[in-house]
Amino acid sequence: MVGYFTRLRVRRVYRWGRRQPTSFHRKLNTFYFDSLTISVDGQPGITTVNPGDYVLIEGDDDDYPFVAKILEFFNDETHNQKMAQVQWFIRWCELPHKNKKLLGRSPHPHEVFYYLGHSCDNEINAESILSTVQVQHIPASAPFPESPTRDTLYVKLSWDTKTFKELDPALMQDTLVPASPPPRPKPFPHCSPPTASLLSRAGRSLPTPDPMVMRRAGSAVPARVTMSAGKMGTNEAESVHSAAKLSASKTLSAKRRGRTAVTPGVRKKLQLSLSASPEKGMTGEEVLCELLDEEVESEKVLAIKLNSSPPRSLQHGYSLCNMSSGRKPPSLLGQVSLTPYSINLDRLSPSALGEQDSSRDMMLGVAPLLLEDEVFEAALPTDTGFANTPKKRQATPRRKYFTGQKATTPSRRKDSSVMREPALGVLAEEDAENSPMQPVAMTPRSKRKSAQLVASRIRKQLDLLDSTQDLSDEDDCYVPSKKQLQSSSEEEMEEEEAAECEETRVRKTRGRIIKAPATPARTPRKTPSKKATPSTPRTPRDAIPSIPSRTLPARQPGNILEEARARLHVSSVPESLPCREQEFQDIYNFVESKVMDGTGGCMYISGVPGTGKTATVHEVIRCLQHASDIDEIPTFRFIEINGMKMTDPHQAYVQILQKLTDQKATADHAAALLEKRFSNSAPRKETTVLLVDELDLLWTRKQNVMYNLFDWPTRRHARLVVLTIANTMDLPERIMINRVASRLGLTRMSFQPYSFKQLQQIITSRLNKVKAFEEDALQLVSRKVAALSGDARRCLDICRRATEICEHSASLPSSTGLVGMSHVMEALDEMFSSSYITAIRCASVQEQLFLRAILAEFRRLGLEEATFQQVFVQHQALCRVEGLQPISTSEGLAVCQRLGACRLLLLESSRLDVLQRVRLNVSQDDVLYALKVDRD
Amino acid sequence: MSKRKAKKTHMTVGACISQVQTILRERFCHQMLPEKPVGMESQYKHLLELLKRTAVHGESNSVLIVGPRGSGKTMLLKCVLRELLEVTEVKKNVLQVHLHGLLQTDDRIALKEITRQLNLENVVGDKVFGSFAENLAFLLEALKKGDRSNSRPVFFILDEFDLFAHHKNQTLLYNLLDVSQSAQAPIAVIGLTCRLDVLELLEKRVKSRFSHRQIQLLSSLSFGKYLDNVISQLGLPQDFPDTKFSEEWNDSIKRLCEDKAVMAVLQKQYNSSKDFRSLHMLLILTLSQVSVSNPSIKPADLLEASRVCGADSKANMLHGLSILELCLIIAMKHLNDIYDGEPFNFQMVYNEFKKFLQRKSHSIYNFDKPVIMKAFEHLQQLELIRSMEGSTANIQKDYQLMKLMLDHNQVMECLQKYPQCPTDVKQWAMSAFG
Amino acid sequence: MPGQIQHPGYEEEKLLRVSKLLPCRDVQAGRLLALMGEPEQYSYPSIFIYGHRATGKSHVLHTLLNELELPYATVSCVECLSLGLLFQKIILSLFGSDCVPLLPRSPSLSDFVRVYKQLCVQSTAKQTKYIVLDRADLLRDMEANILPAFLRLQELVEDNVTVVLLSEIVWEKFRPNTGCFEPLLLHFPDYSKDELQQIMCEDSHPSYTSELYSAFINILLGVFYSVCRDLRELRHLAALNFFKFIEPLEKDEVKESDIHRLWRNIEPHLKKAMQTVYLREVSSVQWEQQQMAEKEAGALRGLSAHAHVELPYYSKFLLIAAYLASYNPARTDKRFFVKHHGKIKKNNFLKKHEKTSNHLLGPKPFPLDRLLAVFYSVVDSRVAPTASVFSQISSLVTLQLLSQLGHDDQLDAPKYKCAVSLDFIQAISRTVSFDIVKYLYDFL
Repeated sequence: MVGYFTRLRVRRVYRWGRRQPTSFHRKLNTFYFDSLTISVDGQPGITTVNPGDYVLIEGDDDDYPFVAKILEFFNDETHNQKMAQVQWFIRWCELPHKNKKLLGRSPHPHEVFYYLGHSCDNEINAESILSTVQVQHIPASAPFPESPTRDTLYVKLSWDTKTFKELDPALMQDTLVPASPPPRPKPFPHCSPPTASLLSRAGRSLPTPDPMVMRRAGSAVPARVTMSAGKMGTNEAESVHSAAKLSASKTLSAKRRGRTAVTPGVRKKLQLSLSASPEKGMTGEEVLCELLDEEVESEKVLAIKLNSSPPRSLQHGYSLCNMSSGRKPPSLLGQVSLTPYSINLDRLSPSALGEQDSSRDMMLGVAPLLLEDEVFEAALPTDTGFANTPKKRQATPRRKYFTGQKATTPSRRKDSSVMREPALGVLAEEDAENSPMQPVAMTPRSKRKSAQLVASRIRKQLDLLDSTQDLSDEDDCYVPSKKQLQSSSEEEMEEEEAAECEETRVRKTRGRIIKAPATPARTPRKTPSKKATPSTPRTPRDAIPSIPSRTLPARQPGNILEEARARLHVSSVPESLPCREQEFQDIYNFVESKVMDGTGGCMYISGVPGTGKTATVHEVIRCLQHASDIDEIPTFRFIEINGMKMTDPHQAYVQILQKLTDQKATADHAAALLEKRFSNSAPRKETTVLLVDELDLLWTRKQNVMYNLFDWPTRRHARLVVLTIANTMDLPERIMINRVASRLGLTRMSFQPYSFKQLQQIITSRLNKVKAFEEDALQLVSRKVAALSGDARRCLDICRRATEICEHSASLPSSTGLVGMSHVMEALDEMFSSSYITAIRCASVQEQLFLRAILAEFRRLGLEEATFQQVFVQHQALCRVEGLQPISTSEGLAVCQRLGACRLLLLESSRLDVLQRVRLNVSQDDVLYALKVDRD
Repeated sequence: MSKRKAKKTHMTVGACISQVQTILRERFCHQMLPEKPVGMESQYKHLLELLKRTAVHGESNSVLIVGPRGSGKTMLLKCVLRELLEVTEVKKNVLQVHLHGLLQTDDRIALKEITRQLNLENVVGDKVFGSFAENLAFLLEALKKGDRSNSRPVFFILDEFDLFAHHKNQTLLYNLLDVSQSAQAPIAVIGLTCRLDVLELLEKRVKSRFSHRQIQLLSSLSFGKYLDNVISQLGLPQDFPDTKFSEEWNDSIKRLCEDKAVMAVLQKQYNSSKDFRSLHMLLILTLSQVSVSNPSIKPADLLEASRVCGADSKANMLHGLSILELCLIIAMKHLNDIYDGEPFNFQMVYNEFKKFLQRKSHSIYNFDKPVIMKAFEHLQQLELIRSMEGSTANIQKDYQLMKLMLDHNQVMECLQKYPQCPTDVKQWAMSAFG
Repeated sequence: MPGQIQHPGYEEEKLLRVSKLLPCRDVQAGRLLALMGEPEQYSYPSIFIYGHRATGKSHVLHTLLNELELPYATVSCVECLSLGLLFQKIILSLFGSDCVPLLPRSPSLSDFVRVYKQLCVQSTAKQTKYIVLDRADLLRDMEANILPAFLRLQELVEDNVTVVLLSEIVWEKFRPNTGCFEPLLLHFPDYSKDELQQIMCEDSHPSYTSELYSAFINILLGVFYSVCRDLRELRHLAALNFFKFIEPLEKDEVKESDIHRLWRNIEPHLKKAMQTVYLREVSSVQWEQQQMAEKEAGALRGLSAHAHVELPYYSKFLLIAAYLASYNPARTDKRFFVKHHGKIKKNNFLKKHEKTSNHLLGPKPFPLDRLLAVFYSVVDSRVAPTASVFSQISSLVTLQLLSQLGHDDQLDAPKYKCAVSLDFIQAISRTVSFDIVKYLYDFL
């Protein structure tokens, strides 16, 4: 089964089912139609879509087009746009990454959810409809039918952006058209005529869809299967799509306002152009609000003009030429203008588009945009696609400047991030007016949603590559790192490029790839070499910290127990942290909100060791990183320092500075630099998230380190989020002086020790499906640990040890392969039983005698303490009783000090030999017990 | 020339003896590892597999080997490593870092040592560049860069583990254990300590990162086993050049261990401590008596050796005191008896001594005070008496409060042994209150 | 009887020479040698030798190591005020001076071990190296890790090295709190009287018969043996007094055979020597000069008997007053010092028997005003409480005849103790003709 051809590859022709509109809405002057026919050229037959049908709507991902149910068809007031009112269905893969946990089970590959959210409006451009599809409603309890065909999707639950709910079948019945479609903006004058003419001209040079594309689309399908097999791969992919869809819908609605943005590509260009402004030294925010204002005004204007707008007659074939403008680029790409293309590719290399978009995106976004850049006055047809709005016009010069800029700026990330912010502004505005009723809390999310067009395209590409990767080498199914993606994406592109321009581009891209990881801001961890090289002026220049790599490969776990052991090792990072969802959410929201509105803040996280504090924070950061990769949120940089991993509190400054900007400095100097950095504002500064682990180690007498850490976030321009972790809940009260504690603020969170249920869940989730333990064995471990410390590490260690013991006893005939009670018990008392009693039992005769002498002497004195002299008298007596020949004082002392050496006794310094006081380090009862057992 | 003749007469014997000496000495000085550690098979297995997993599977681990002094912790570890390194797969991969709590007394030194032994890039010759902080950062970076499957596993062997726990903030331990619990270069942290309470020394965050594996070497071996071990310790190996001699020798050893007196001595030794180190001390003393003239171990030698080992050192010292000093000791003993164990000062002792002189002293005539004071000070130098006050600031030295660090019966025994001790002194000592 | 030391590892001649050099220490030397074994053989990692001063511990060891040409380093811990010094000495004498710079500045133990190891690798000598640490008891005062580390140095440096610790303090007082590698204990017993005689006779004066000398030694020991068995001390005394002993012979007053007269001649000198030279209250030079000038033999007296500390008149009284104040209970002052107390029945003052007199327990502190009160009552003429009095008090403190308790900051009520002995104060009071004993509570 091949992927859905979007109109990028095949041209679809959209016509209203009947020429005459079924109804006419006077106030809005829109005509309503009863059906839409789609004819795909190259394919016989015509699809007719009626309201109530379920359709696939073109999104950014051909493999997962959006699903919706048509409610009604109409055309907008300009009558040259086919619109449709839809009820969205959301795919699993479109859900925000962090919400996926909320669905208890693993989703069915063809499952969709009835979308109740408001964050994406439900009017779409009818021309984005691809084809129809079956959607079956299944009661939540019922199982999914086997052998799903690709054309039928199943809906069980509804999703309202917060929770999954049981979907009542009523909704699924064909519903009536909602009474009043939402108001639509007033058209600007002066748009069509030039467009039309130009477009018609464009129409002539239409290419036939090039065969390679077809093939690749075909290949994509098996690819997807393997991809969904790979864990991480899919995760990333999915949340991308979700964003993509919502934003796409935005796009569509935005089109009507922008009046010109017929294709996403153009739409994107709009964003680019807008975003160009910060390059002119304005900060993101400023642009943002400025834009917001202007949007508001325009809205007002529109609202007024609404009813006074006269009806218009719709024009046929417009859509055709309109689309042709969309289809223009491939031709250019294909045969016409390779040279300008390749040129501007490397001119543009750092740009968000040039890099990772597939040819399709090229056609849509890049190519036109570039063409406009390069050969501006050589009026290529596509040019017109953008040439209609004043906004656009004013945009173009900007963008030219902008791209020029980009060519010089090394890292694409930075500008792309900047580039997006303004766009946010626009869309946020739209959003607000689309759904005034929605909670404010949602706005940031939706902002983000709509901000993603670019990266989502990128991502979609990555996924394909990702999958092809999987095809190429099955064995390693981890998500390929950025480099690989880029490089391979290049390859993909090369496939589609004409042969001659390949190698040039390869070189370019390679060059860029080398640069790619060189941005420390992204992930300091990934690029340690950067951090280490400037380790010290005196170190040899080429000092790169590394453990030599092994000559022979590490052996992979062989049997099931080894497998289990590997999974149970604390180091094996689980894909998700069970039992910490709440904490996760809180921290996530905290950091996210701070990052979103570019403010700063502190958070204090406490909890006994082994309750997953650091792990959770890292998880959060991972999600956020990834969210920012797909532009849900502005990029931020994450820095981690650990009080234990520095030699002195003031090293904190040095480390932070080094991780922020690769410069080395003395503690004082670093402190000064950071002070400066955080106190005065810099353009295009991104938020810094600083994780301070083992906070209490940063304590100094004057507490200036802590003070600064908590003071910087409060600065206006700092944009610093500080997450601090420590063991003790009341650390602020105990060790911090007021001015420090007050700055820390009240955002606190304490991780409770795991309950035994949670521990059990943790183990099982780690083991997932590796059947190595008996249930009750797990129970025992988790109960025991929960009772003692609630330390997950302990729990895992015990389990690991148990597997080993099990392995040893595997030789026994009685043993089942599984780890049973007995093994766990053994492991438990290996780890928890105090060794004192065994030690006493294994002690030599004289040592035991001495212990007894001590007991006797204590009883005599009624104290817990005696001098050696006193005890030794008793000892001699006991010797006689036992019929042993009494030992000399020296030997006696030797015995005593041996016991002292292994801390069964507590002794004073040996200098006052016979006068030194002796105390027991074990309870007298233990000693008695041990000795008594020893006796018989 | 007489020597050369001597050599000729019992050439073989002399050679053999020196051979024996060489072999057994190496054994007793813990230079030669036994083929198999006795009485700790299970621990051996446990440790071996643990380390093997680190070496082969790259699974990080941490373990403590706990046992009293001389219970063979190091020996166990060495044996395990020896066997482990016979596997080429391990040999090629594993890096070892040996740290000793006595040598690396703080993290700064320890880090330099680690870097040196790992031979990281910031080592040139045997100089380690960079400050403490830089070294730490560097090492952590290096470890972090590694990963389970690709980088060579590292054994960190911390002898006298408890001493590392006294380093500032336990930084080193925290970081090592942290690495061993996170997905970085695979390492195994092996700690050796004699303190049973070592875990209490660890800070709780450090403790949490330590996988609470303890291998305990608490040998509960019977006297029979002990005897066998003695025999095997003294026995000569198969590959001894002169088989005839070695057989004779081994037989003599067997016979020796059946001897009653020897049994008694060994039993005493066994009673006082089971560890082999103290046994080795006994045996090397015995062995040292073996010579050409005395080509096999006689029970007498063993008895002599144990006498030397078991002698009461204080008694030995008392034996060497001058009569005056002895009298002072007796005076102090009396003071102790009178004011049971209360500290005394020189004046009191002097007084006691005077009283004794006035009453009946034919043997000892009067010394004037400074002379006695000198004797008193000598006793203090020998740490037979000890001043109670910490600071002897503005106190006249004859009023400083002192305590006698001898036992009542130690004094008495020494009087018995004391050469030509005057009878009146003896009587004085015997007499109840001075 | 010498030459009984035997060992296959070494040539007989050497051994003979050794045993000649070690009179009366054959047993110890023999055992030590046996322990050391042949040069290449391992010896026990650490040996702890204890015994009284001058019982030949280091002497035996050094002669053995020297004569048998074994590689060794010997360091007296008294000389090593810093660890660096200690390490340098060891490296220096084991590996030669050119290796010393390998040690970094202020080396740590780990540096030392590292350097030692790498030097061992270079040098292929298989012989057992010996490190002799004299006055090992001082190791306890160095860093805690030093002593245990030296005890197991063999293991740490993985070299055939044996550390020998010498001390006159028993091993029990060395053991660190967490235990350590137990060294092999060896005791060097003291010389018996005969052995002392024998050894001391060896350095007899060439111009006189050894019989005479041994007779002299006999007399000397007769006087000193009961006090001191330190060989070195005795030899010193012998050397000092021999000429006094043979004076009569020089003057041909007595026959050499007439030991008795010689004895009567020398004996008082020896007694005096015990009070002076033996106590180091007189330097041996002074002593010899004084021997030369026969007549006023009584003139020279040890510091112990010195009453002739010249003090101002009032200072003397102040000192007396201080002494009284610190040795008499305050309640008895009235009885002693109130001038016109009518008639007081003696029996009131019969002191109730106390267990220990103040002269055993030492001086009690007293406040300044009490001192002054006693002072005014003991000094016969009237004295105005002028600044001079107070200044004299403070000068007495600086002379350490008085000692001030507490800190200097409590200016208002300072407390003092008298820090002089009874003999001293008696001497003082004699000079001012004040019978102190009458005023002392202990002597009623």
